[in-house]
Amino acid sequence: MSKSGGSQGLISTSDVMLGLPSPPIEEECLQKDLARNIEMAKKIFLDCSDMVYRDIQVAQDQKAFLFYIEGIVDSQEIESQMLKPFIIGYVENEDEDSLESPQNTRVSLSQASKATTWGDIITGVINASVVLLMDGTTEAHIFNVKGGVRRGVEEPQTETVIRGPREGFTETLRVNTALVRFRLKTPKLKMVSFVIGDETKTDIVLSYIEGLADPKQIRDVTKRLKEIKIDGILESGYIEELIEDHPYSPFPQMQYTERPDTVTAQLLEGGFAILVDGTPFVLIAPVSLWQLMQASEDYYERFFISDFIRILRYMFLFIAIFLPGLYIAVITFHQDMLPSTLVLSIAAAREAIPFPVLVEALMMEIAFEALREAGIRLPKTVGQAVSILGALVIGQAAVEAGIVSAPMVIIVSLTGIASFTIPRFNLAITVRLLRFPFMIMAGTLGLFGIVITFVWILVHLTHLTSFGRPYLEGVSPYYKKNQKDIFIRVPWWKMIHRPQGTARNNNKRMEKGINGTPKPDKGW
Amino acid sequence: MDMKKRIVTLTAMVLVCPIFLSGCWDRKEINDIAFVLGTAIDKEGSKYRTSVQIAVPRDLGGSSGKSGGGKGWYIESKLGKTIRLSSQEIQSNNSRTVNFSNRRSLIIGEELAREGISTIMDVFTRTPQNRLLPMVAVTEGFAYKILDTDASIEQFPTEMVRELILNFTKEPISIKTVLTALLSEGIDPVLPILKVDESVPPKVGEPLKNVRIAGLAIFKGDRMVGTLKGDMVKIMTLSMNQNKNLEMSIPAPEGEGDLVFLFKKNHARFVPVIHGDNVTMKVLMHMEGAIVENASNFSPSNEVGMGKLEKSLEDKMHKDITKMLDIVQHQYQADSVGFGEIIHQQKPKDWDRLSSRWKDIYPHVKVEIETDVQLKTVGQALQPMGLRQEEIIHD
Repeated sequence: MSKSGGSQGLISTSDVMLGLPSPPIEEECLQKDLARNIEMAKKIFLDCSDMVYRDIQVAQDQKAFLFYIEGIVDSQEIESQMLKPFIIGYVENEDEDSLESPQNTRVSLSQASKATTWGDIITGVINASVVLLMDGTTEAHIFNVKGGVRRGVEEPQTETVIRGPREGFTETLRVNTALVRFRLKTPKLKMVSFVIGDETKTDIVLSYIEGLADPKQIRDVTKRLKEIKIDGILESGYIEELIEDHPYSPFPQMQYTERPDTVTAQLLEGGFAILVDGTPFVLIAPVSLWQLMQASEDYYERFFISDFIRILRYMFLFIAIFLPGLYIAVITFHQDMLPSTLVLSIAAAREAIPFPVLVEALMMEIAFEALREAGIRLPKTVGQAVSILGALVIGQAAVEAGIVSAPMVIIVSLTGIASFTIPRFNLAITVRLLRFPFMIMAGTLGLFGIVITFVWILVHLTHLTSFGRPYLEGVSPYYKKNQKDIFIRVPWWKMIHRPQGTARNNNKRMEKGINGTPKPDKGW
Repeated sequence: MDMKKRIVTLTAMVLVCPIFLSGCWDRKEINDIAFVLGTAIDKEGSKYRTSVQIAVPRDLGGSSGKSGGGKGWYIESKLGKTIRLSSQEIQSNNSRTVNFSNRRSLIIGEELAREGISTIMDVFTRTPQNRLLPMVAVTEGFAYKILDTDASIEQFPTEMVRELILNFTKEPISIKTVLTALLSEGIDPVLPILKVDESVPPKVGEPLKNVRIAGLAIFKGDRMVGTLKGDMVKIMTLSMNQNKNLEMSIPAPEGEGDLVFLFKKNHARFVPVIHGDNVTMKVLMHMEGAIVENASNFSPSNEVGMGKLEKSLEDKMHKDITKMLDIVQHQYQADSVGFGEIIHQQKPKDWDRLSSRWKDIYPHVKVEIETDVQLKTVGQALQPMGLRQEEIIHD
């Protein structure tokens, strides 16, 4: 943990705050009498077993008192940079009287400040600072020695790639900001700080690139963030729900990511990111539906591969939404649509099935969702048992018992696979949810019902916005320049412009395209 | 907020309504449907006999079906004043809704075909459930006999009929093709004739009943007027530019035995020459092919030899086409090749003048035939393989 890195940190052990009396204490000032101050401190942090109090003799006639919360500070640092100097200093120069400013003379810690009110002291303590109270002064010295064990930078769990950086965000805000800063070495990268949550005092950073992001949008987000009044923020999901444009829409209007490179790419396209302390998931916005269909690897692999995979993904998006509905509609209403051999083999498979297709499909889809949910929550060792059970019971046994037809199992598993090809989990969930209205409408009205539902969703999507930007931006409204990164990705040497909607002020990525093909040399 | 609530409520209502209102009234599970795979139509006195082949999914061996050992289909046959009425009779016999959308083929009995087919075509086109894709054929004798064949290589006899007809011509003869021919003045329909054939003679083994295409039914207007058999069938499809793989044999120009040729490329071009009411149709037949069997002792080892073969093929073609056209033009007076349609396309103004009298003019159309046969891709395999050098007659 770099000393210059942090200024504030988070500790959300709620028992720290429980003994806190009402505001007057926060405004109360320190007294000259050390004993009374100690008493006060102990009263404020009553029943906080993680508090450490330490009396020290700094000079012959001067006592000092030092307290901090164990676990969130770097104890070794305190020992070597504070306690040792004081104790050795006391032994070495007994005549010292310059203890008015110990931060200048004894303590070699970089982040130091002074406080006179208890409010500032509390803020300091809960943000991993050591407070030094001296007898005879009304000023407390606060040294930030943030420490404590938190997870280190690891490979992102939810967004693995074959090719691409393996660093993922962690729960520590400063590590996360640093991960972005490593990639964007420019003072134009802004990191505006917020503290949200009355009890959690969660640090939140709004990050954007000046000159690329739309200032109006940044002002708007700032305003929305400032308006949040809540007791605690435990995950960026809180923020997402509190500031998104259309809370009733099933479609995610912000993307979350564990990958610093994804955040950087978003910032470079004129978007912004919201980093929340305590979670590795960083929110990025504004997003479009197309963006949620992109994976970071699309940009790292050669464009042929990326294009192929992206088109494949859109095909499977279509399958994930429509396939069960289409199957139900065709089997219950429009048998004429199928080729004869197919319709006969489906009829043969369904001959002994006791349920109508709709019931069969709903049963299987719900079972599949339950299976998936069970797989996520269970410990890894048990998870395997679930998949075996699922494959055997729902797959094979149900078919053999004649409860479910084999084509239905194929449809459900194909749909399941299709929904896993969607790179963003939140969009995948939306798609899985939307499947059910499609199925019900298909089972009641056939293709007509599918069309109604689709139009309904389309109408919803066209008026959906993400921080004021249209959700289907690029297609509706249509921007020709954006086509190079929606359904396909053009090679990087053709990616001259940033997306037209977001980075309007400064939309050139590069001066001109460079095609690396060497020109035939005359000398040859 | 209030507005939003109202929108949400309204949307919910609109979405919920169809579920309760519709009651899924059109819902018909796939297992409440009897799929008709093929229809055979015969005339019995003044009534129509409709025989349908209906799939039995239980016997088709689905994943859970322990195949009951059945054939996978059964036949129902009913009489009615019209085809629709006889179909209704079939429906009243059936617990599942009879569905015609997957009909593979439509088979017409000879008697009905001779009486005219235009009246029966309506029912196969009117409702959307009927596709225009079923293959159409005529039978010798009764049509329903075709339905009850073994056709063991396909799942259903009607499927066999379909595949046979699909392979028979370049553009398959479906209801659509027949309707087009029926409705245009300058061409008369031609339909394949189906025949039940035994797979092996009884002395070889137990015969299975198979279906084969035994010839072509020549129609004049909507009435079947005659048949073409044997080699004439190939020549007819060739003239219609519908032949897929034409195999032909000629005796060797020198020596003994026959040679067989396969013509993969063939094209007939027609050029009408019109002076008043005198119509001359120039037929330019171009064929490219190769030797597929040399069962003679003749070796066409150079251009001269090939030229001889080409010459005798051209002569044979000329003779055959003349003969074929003579039959349809003078004996049946049916415009099967579609001379009228050719004039319609190439000389529309003349056609406007002639079309009303085409039936009278057609038998008097003069035909000039030019054939051009090219043998290609013979490679090195020129000589008969099994003969010694001195046995071979070189050209």
